[in-house]
Amino acid sequence: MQVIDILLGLAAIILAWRALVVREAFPAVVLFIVYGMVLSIAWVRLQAPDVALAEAAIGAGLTGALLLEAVGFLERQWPEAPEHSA
Amino acid sequence: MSTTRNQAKAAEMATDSTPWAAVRSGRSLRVTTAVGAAVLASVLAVVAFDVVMNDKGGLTPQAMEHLDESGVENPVTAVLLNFRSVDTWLEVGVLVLAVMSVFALHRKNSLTSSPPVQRGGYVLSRMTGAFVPLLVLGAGYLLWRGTHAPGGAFQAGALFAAAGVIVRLSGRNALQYIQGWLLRGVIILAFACMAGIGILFMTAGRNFLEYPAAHAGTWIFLLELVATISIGAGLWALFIGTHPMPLGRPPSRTANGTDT
Amino acid sequence: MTLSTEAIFTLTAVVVFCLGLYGLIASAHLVRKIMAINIMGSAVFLLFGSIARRNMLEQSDPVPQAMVITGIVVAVAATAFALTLARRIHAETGTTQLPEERGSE
Repeated sequence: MQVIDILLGLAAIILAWRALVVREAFPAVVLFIVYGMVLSIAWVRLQAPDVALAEAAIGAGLTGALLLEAVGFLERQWPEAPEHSA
Repeated sequence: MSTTRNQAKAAEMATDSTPWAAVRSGRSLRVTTAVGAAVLASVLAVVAFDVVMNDKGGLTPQAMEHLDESGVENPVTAVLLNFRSVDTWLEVGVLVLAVMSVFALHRKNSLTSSPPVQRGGYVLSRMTGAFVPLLVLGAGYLLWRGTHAPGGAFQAGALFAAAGVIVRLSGRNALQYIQGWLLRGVIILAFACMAGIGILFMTAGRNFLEYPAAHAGTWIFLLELVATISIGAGLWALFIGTHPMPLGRPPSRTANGTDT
Repeated sequence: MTLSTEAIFTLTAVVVFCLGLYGLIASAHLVRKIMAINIMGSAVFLLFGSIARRNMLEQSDPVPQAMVITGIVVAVAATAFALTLARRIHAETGTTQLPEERGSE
C-alpha cells in the first residue's frame, strides 16, 4: 500500500507543477481538476471519506467549473483569433 | 487548443490582455522566488514532519467519547453539526456573503436576469435529462446517510449545485421559473434557521446551538436538510454569478464559441 | 525504510504548497494566480488531514476533517469572489494583470 501512497503523492506534485507552468489556459485548468481528483483519492487513503467526497465534488468539480468558465470568458473577450496555422 | 498561443499573442498586441503563460518579468525575481520556495519547503518539511511524527495529541478520544450524546453516528457529522456547529453556522454565513459580493460586483445583472447561454446540442440535452435526476437522487442519499456514514449536508449540497450547473451549461435558463426573492430566501435560509434555533435554545437556558440531548438527532437532521438546500443554492448562485453577460466589450468569438 | 501514509502525504503537502507559492508569485495572469492559491489551500488541507491521522488510531481525528470540509466550501466561495473581481478588473482595464505588475511587462 505504501507504493500507492507514494504514487499518489508524486502524481499530486507533478499535476500541481504542470498546472502551474503549462503554457495554455485550458489544459492548465484540466490538470487542476485532475489534481483535485488525485487529492480526493489521497483523502480516502487518509481514511477521511467525508473529505474525499467534498474535495471531489467541490474542490475539483465546482472550482474547476468556475475556473473553466472564467478562462472561456476571458478568452472570448479577446479579439478575432488568427487563422488556425499552428 | 493549439491556437491558444496565437490567440494570446494576438490579444497581447490588440488589447493588452495578459497571455496565460506570462510570468512576471525579471529573471532575478523568479529565481529568488524559486530559491525561497525551496528553502521554505525544507523548513516546513522538518516542522510538519515533527508534528505528524512526534505530537500525539488530538481530539479523537474526546470526540468518540461524546459521540453517543451527539445524536448521530458519523463522528465527522457530529463535529460539524453538534460539537462545532458554530463553525458550520459561520461557514454558511461566509457563503451568503460571497454570493452577495459576487452579485454586488455586477453592473447590470441581477440574480434572475442573467441570460441563458447558447443551447447545447441533442446529446448534451439528453445527457442532462438523464444526469440531473440522478444527481438529485444522489444528493438526497448522501444527506440521508450522512448521519451514520460518510456523507452529509456539504456533499449533498455540492451535488445539488452540480445538478444546477449542468442544467445551466445545457442552455436551459432555470432562473426564469424562480422568483428572485425566493432564491435569495433559500440562500439565506440555513444561516437564519441556525441563528434562530440557536437563540431559541439560549432562551431555554442552553448554550447557542446546544441541542436537547434527547432530540439531538432530529434537530441535526432538520438543520442538515436546510443547510443542504442553502449550500446547494448558494454554490449554484456563485456559478451563475460568475457566469453573467459579458461585462464591457461584447463577445467577438461567439460564432464558433460552442465551448460554453 | 518504510514511510507511513501520513508521512508521505505530509511531504506531498509541503512540496505542493511551495510549488503553489512559486506559481502565485511568478505568474502574471490573475486566473492563474487564483488557481495557485487554490493549490496552496488544498495542500494545507492535505497537511491537516495527515495531522488528523497522526495517532494511528482506528478512527482518524474527526475535528480536523470537519474543519477541512468547512474550509473547502469557504475556499470555493472565495474563489468565485476572486474570479468575479478578476473579471471586473478585465472589464475596467482590459487586462488580467494587477496594476503593479503591468509596468514591468
